[in-house]
Amino acid sequence: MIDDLRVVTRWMVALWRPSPGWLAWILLSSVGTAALQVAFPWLWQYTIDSLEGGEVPIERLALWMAAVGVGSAVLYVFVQGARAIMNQVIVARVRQQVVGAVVDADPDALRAWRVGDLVARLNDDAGERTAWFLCSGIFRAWEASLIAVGAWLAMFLSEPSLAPWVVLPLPLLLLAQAAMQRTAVARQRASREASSRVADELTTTFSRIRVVQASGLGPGVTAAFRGATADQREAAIRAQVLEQSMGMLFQYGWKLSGVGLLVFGGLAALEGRLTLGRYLAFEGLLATLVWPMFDLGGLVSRLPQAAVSLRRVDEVVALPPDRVDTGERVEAGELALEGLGVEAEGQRLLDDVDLRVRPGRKVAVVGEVGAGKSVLVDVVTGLRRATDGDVRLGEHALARLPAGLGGVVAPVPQDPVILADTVRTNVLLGRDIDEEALARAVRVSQLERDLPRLADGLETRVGERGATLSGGQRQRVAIARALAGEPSVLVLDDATSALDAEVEAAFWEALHAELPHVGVLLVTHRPATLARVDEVVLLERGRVAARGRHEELLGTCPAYARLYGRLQLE
Amino acid sequence: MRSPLSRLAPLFRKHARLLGLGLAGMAAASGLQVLGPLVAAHAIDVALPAADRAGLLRDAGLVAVVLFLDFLVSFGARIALQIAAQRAMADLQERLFDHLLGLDVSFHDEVASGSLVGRVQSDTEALNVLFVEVVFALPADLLTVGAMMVVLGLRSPQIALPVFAVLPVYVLWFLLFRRIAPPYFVAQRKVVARLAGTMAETVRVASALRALGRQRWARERVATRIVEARRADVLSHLQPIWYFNGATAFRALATVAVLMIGAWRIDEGTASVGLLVIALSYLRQIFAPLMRMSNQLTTLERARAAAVRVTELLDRGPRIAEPEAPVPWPGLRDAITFEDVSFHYLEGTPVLDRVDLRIPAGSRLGIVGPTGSGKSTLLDLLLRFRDPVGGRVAIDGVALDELSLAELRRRTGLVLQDVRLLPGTVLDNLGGDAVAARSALDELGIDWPLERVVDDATLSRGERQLLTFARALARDPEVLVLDEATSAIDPATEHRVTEALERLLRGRTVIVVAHRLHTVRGCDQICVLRGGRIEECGPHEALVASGGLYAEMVRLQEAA
Repeated sequence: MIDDLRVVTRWMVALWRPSPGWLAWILLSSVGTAALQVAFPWLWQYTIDSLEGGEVPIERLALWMAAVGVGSAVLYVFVQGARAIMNQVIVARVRQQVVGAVVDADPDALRAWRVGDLVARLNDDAGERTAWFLCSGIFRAWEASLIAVGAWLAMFLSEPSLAPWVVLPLPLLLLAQAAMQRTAVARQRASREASSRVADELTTTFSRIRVVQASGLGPGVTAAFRGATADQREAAIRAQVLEQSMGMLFQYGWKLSGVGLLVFGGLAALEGRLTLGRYLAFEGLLATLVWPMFDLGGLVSRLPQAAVSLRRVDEVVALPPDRVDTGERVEAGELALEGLGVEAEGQRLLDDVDLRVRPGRKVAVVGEVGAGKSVLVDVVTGLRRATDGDVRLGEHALARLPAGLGGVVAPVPQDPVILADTVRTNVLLGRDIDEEALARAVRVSQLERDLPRLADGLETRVGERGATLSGGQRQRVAIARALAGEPSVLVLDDATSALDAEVEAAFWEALHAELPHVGVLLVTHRPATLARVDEVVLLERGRVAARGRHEELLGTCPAYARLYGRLQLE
Repeated sequence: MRSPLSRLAPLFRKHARLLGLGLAGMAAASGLQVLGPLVAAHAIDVALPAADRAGLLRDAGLVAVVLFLDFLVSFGARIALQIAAQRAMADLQERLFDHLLGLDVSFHDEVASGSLVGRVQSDTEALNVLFVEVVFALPADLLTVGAMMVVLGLRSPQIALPVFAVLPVYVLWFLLFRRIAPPYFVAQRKVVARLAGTMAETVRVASALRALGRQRWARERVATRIVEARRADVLSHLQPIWYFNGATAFRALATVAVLMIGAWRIDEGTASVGLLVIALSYLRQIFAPLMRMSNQLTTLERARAAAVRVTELLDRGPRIAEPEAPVPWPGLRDAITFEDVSFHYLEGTPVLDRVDLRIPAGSRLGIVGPTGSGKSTLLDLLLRFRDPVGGRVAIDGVALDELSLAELRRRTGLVLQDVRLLPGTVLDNLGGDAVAARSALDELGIDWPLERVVDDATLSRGERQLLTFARALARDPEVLVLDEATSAIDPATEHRVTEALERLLRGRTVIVVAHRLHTVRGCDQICVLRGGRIEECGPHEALVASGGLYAEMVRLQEAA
């Protein structure tokens, strides 16, 4: 509880510091609306009581009441409005921090995270519910306490003997709520877990639909799904029963106060201590209290949830930042790996690898699954640190260069990420290059072939994850994207696997003709591509097992010949 | 054409009793809510002027009883309605699941299983909320409002007047809200979805963008979307605020009017304070459902969209179905034949191009070829996961689509590269027939108990492969279709897998897609597939002798 408060307070201070004006307005205007909301029912008493010769004329009283009632609603628009605006400002502030932390994070630290987990934290934990708590939740409770204090004050001033009876249910209700809270949270969690099991059943079944249909597993998976939905249904009902009881307890608890008022107010009236007008006012004040009490209860129950979310956000924000991207370009030159080694979890992923990509040369890395090809690509493109040895680009050692080298060593993955944006944006990624360079990137990557088939050429918007593009088109976009950064070395990680033979040949020719100085390091499973490169490096368990030209290796290296034969089959 | 929402109504037929009970309870609660203030008013108007302490306490006790009954009945009714809705939605989920299970592989290849979770879970949840919060709540709300108007009108038309007057104002105000607000909600949902997409893709590409040195741009891109979403969010959240506070202002004016008219009438002696108490508490109660309506609007929109998606899915039938009068199949006698078979996913890019093949009963056919040559498609056609675009696949001269689909699948065993298991017991993974499962495991020399719980994480790849063999063997298929795994199996199980495979293949007609040449070496016939066409076919020796593509592959693999 104390810890929860500490986390929430820290975030409150950080998020509200830039907006003192809004904070002051929300705090102060709440005092105003609370006063008006209490004053409205308070005035009711005079309508009845003035019948027996009150000092205020009844018409003027009507005007006063109308003014207070309407004024209260109008002012409340600005109070609620301010809270609504700040909810969103806060959500935006938290999200900017989280996205910034992820984008700038050290790649080695980021690798430990699942993308789904990060996305969930960004969407849910750094989401509207948390922000709502940090603004609306807390300040509604502030307003609720003001109304509660005001209403009770009014009751005490008006008839001290009656007020305690009317107030009595509050501590009882809060106690009851506190008692049920833990169970309610547990049941809600159980319900969420049950429904994620249903989701699991769905994905397992339908991602294996061939086997299920062909092997007669239908009855089995159906029974499993029935079991999961039954659990989900029961868990949901259990959670709802409790939620419903808590809600209704509050609602009816306050109605019970009305009965107390009827008894003790009635008795007071009989004894002449309470006028009927005041009785009406008491009833009105009681009704005014219902929702504020609900809000106060809500604050208590939401605090732990908000704290959990904020702690999850903290974990992301605490990711260590990478070296800062200065946008500075380094001088081009040859890419060289010297005695490179990578170790992770006690395993030697790469060991003493020497490799050299001179300008304009093409070097292919081949090997079995797990031989260390992708680790090599990660090191070369700055996504992983070498444990020992050097990566050099011209005169510079990679470890001292800015992240990503400003695109000088440009990676093209096998399954590139396509942003839901225009093709142009996907190629440029916001880089400011001239049209001629862009045209060259589009031409060399063979993306040019696709333009006539795309509705708006480069301006065509592609769907989520590039859904509207074929595998080959996606790879061409990725190659153009890398070329648009005017790289010295292109790193193709099986990046031509979806291109057909003719297109791939055209790409290599265009690259040779238009960008003859660009060196290429490639991982490939294509037999035909291997015949094209200047040097083939065979990796076995992280070490260089053989190197040479393709034809040479076929003759001299049995392991390579076997691998090559298998590649032809796959 | 009936609306998608009304088509879902029959789901409640099975739960009609519970539903009826719930709705009746809600109606009874409405009555009690109308009654409560009447009793309180009686105390004020009768007991107080007469200085009747006993009468006051009796009335107060009665109010407490009414309140308690109202609580019990409302609670019971709401729970009954929620249970009815939960059950109906669970029924719907099961119906959707059964339906999806019967849909073709072609459907499942197109639709990601993640989006099916959306249909089966999120959409039914949206419908659940609609039923509980709108459909079932509306009759009781209308009943309450109606009864209160009638009672009040009968007791004092003058005091009722402001309450009557404010109702049409409420309705107009709500119509205004319905006119103005929805576009902001729609815009907000769109922008928020877009932001969620951008955030997710930025996280996904974070490392790729770093490698290209574009972090700063990525941050700015998300920042733009965040600001865009903030604006739309604020605008949409301001809508209920003006609606709610406007309605509050109208209620305040009506309250003032009730008080003033009441005061005058009391002064005249034609009304009582009790009547005022009734009018004021009714005014509060009439207000509550009105406030709910602004939320219900969003609920309704969401549920309508969900209902459309759900019914669309239910309307979608399988393209591959059982024939009406299947030709009886006594078992494979002669041969499986591919006769001039063509297939494509997209017009103009053939995957299989006029393939002719004959697989005699009891023989083994091996298929080899590079990626994308059409090997897996060939298997899909053989199991009738898809139908050919041209030509036909036949068994003993009868086209597959004339045979019973269930029969075909029962007699044809399938072993895929995909060795993911269904989380559950060994028996679950072997199809549920304990006797057949045990004997299959015994035959393969696996001594695991059938109740052993298995999943992908606890078994090695080789062990899972063994289970897939047992799964096929348990059905004792005549024809066995096998897509050989590409990735390496741990050396510990490699030997067992090879042995088990040999036992599985023995005595059956086998079609195997191979990634290692030694797997197909012993086949009676080996076909090399390239670009959707059969390049060469024949036994191992003949193909090696002919010096074609196969011979070249063999030469390379045996270079060792």
